[in-house]
Amino acid sequence: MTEQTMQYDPTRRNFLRICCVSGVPIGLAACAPAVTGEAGAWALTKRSSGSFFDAEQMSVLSDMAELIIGDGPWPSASDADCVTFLDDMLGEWGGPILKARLSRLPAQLNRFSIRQQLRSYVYLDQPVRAQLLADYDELAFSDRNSEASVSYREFKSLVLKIYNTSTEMNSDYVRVPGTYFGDLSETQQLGLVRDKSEGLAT
Amino acid sequence: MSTQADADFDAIVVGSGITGGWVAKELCERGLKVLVIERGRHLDHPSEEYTDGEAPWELEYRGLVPDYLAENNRYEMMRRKRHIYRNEHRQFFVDDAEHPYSYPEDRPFMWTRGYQLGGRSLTWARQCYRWSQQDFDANRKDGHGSPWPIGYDDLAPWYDKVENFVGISGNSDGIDTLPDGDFLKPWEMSCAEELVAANLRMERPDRPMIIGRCANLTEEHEPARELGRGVCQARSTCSRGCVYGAYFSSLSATLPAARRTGNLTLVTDATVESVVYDDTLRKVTGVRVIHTRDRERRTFSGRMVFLNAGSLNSVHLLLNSRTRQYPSGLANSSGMLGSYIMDHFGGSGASGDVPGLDDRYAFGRRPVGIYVPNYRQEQLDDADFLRGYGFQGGAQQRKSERPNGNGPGIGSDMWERGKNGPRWRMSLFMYGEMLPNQDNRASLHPTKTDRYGTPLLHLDCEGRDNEKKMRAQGAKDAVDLLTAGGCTNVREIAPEPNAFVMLGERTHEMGGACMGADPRSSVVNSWCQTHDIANLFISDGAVMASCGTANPSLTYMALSGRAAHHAADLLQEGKL
Ligand SMILES: Cc1cc2nc3c(=O)[nH]c(=O)nc-3n(C[C@H](O)[C@H](O)[C@H](O)COP(=O)(O)OP(=O)(O)OC[C@H]3O[C@@H](n4cnc5c(N)ncnc54)[C@H](O)[C@@H]3O)c2cc1C
Ligand code: SF4
Repeated sequence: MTEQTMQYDPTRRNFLRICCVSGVPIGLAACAPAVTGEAGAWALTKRSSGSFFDAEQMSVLSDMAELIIGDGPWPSASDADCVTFLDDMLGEWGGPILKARLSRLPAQLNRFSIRQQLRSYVYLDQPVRAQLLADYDELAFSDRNSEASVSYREFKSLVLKIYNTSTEMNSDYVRVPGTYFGDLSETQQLGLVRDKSEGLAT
Repeated sequence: MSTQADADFDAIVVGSGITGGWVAKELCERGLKVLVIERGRHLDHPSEEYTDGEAPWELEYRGLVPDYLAENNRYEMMRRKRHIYRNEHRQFFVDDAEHPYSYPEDRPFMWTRGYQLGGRSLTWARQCYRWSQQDFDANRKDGHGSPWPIGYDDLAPWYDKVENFVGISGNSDGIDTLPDGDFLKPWEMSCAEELVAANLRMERPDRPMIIGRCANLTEEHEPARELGRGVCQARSTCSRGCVYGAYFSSLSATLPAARRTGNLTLVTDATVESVVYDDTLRKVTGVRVIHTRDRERRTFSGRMVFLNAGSLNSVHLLLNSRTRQYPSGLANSSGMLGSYIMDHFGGSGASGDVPGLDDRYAFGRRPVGIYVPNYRQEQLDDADFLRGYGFQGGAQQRKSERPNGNGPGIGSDMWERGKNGPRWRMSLFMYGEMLPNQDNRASLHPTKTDRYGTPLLHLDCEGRDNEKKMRAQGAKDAVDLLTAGGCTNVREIAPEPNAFVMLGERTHEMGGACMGADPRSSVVNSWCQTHDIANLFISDGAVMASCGTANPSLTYMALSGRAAHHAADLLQEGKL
């Protein structure tokens, strides 16, 4: 990874445009065998166009958000509607620069995929995709100046902000605690949360 | 506009924030007909603009300030104060692009304002601490700034009155440098804070850590109940307004108290441009305003004028009220108007894990932190600076169940990273007293004007050597306090020793029309009355001759109540 950079490489622009996700409909399953030889690699869920992003961008960004949040005993990015919310909000909330950055992000990730894996992002197996995004993430945080790094980090930060403020992540939110206690056992604290939260807590 | 008003008033109060509210209440209760003029819009209490009841997922844009604003360079200074740059209370903060001010490019000044009925009393953090005699002695002792003409005993009865009306929670801690008052029941410390405080009592008995004192009602309080104010529900959404009226604001407390006398007239959406001075009478006769909605100009007349526009705005008004007799600003025969701008400064501190409490939890969102009052003024053996500092902070439960998108890692890696360390982590942030320095100045910009043609306020201020030395020692002390308090993994927060000390960051800007006994070196006397013009008073932070280390608004309120009471006496005795 050390020799990789996240700088945009204009000399490869035309070649990459042909390969990039935004140029090839993600749901175009017929292309998959020709490129990858394995239909199973098409794990990316096809999304319809949103309010701001087009279908391809929605698909890739949703997949990225899913991988960023990951699988575990916690709500997934789609449970928390991260990318749908971002898409709904971005039109009136985002400035032109951020909008351009986030729109370009799928293509940037794809270029990275082509360089690293010699295949478009959508054609990668899910585990390979996860590793690729982990590498991309690491690079984005070590080389913070490039445009691609900024786009990715802004996306990640927004996904996390939306995720952390979702109902799914706030099932224990107590709107009106009534008072403050600073030294409780777990059982006492859970009891109060159960009594006072709005039925979101399980 | 709230009300149209043409009549002559006994008093005109400019500004409806923390201090203007106090002056209005005091004067109205003394039977005077009072006009409060506010440049911002009218707000009711409770207001439709409050967002305190909204859960995180209900907030517009989840509380994220629209990104296009940043891209257009709006809210420039508020953006730097990341923790307050939130959409749910943005309506209560001023956008610098709409209300510009100026500063030298290499010496920015952070001026955080709130232009609406109630001013910054809506968004303040409600920390309330009395000043001690040590604070009033400081200028006289080391020769910096104008010596205070009053001491603790002059203000103590007014601290009592203000605290009684406002409702301040806290302990009587018996600390010389932080006088006690008559408090409502204190908030509870968290287990982690208790532990650190107990360790400090043994290890650093001269540096006590106490629970913060704040203007949130922790219990029923008669003067508050009469105004329909309820008890605090530990939601910690105060900067968004409070439908319960459980924290003190002009909107929930002083303005309703003034209104119930029947003596109050309020005009909103009206910016006072200058104070009208009659050269022959040698008195002020009123104020000139610009109605912000239709740009119409008009004059209101009154028998006396109180400036409570929030320190720098009061100074701005006087600088912009030039007359033949006062060509460099009204009431500026001393030439000191605009000098000695101050703020508390910070930038240093520390944080550390509090071990051994992983099975202990907190419930509720306490709206106040802990406080380490200034201990440094008397402990200077290992220090090479004048004056002292205190710390504010608190111990938070780590939200390990919440991943954070600002660092590397995806999936389980990211979640794991968030889980490092014990459940509780404590932080301390320094609040330093800067030296009054005549060269820290506010003036009128020679060429730039606002949309009404008023010259912009130009702020040329910085923390200097003394402040930098203090900041460096503050970081060391914070590390020492946490270590002695039993914390592990202590991380120092220490800027580069020579890094610029920006004023305004602590939102406690003050000075510019300092109080003093000598009319040649100060602007107001011990009653906040200008030396030059008997019926002109200033009772906001502009009159502060030094800045102490404690959050200042309680002192501003005490000064305002005292000044208004005195002014009413003078008026009634026919001395104005
Ligand atoms: C986020 C934040 C946290 C804070 N926390 C604390 C704290 O914990 N403890 C503490 O002691 N202090 C705190 N402060 C500071 C506190 O808010 C101020 O000290 C206090 O509000 C000053 O009162 P004031 O009446 O002088 O000014 P303001 O409350 O600012 O009121 C001034 C009013 O005058 C109006 N005005 C200005 N110019 C004109 C004009 N030309 N014509 C007509 N009207 C005008 C403004 O619109 C405003 O309504 C905090 C401030 C902020 C922003
Ligand atoms: S914490 Fe208390 S004062 Fe603050 S908003 Fe909630 S109820 Fe009101």
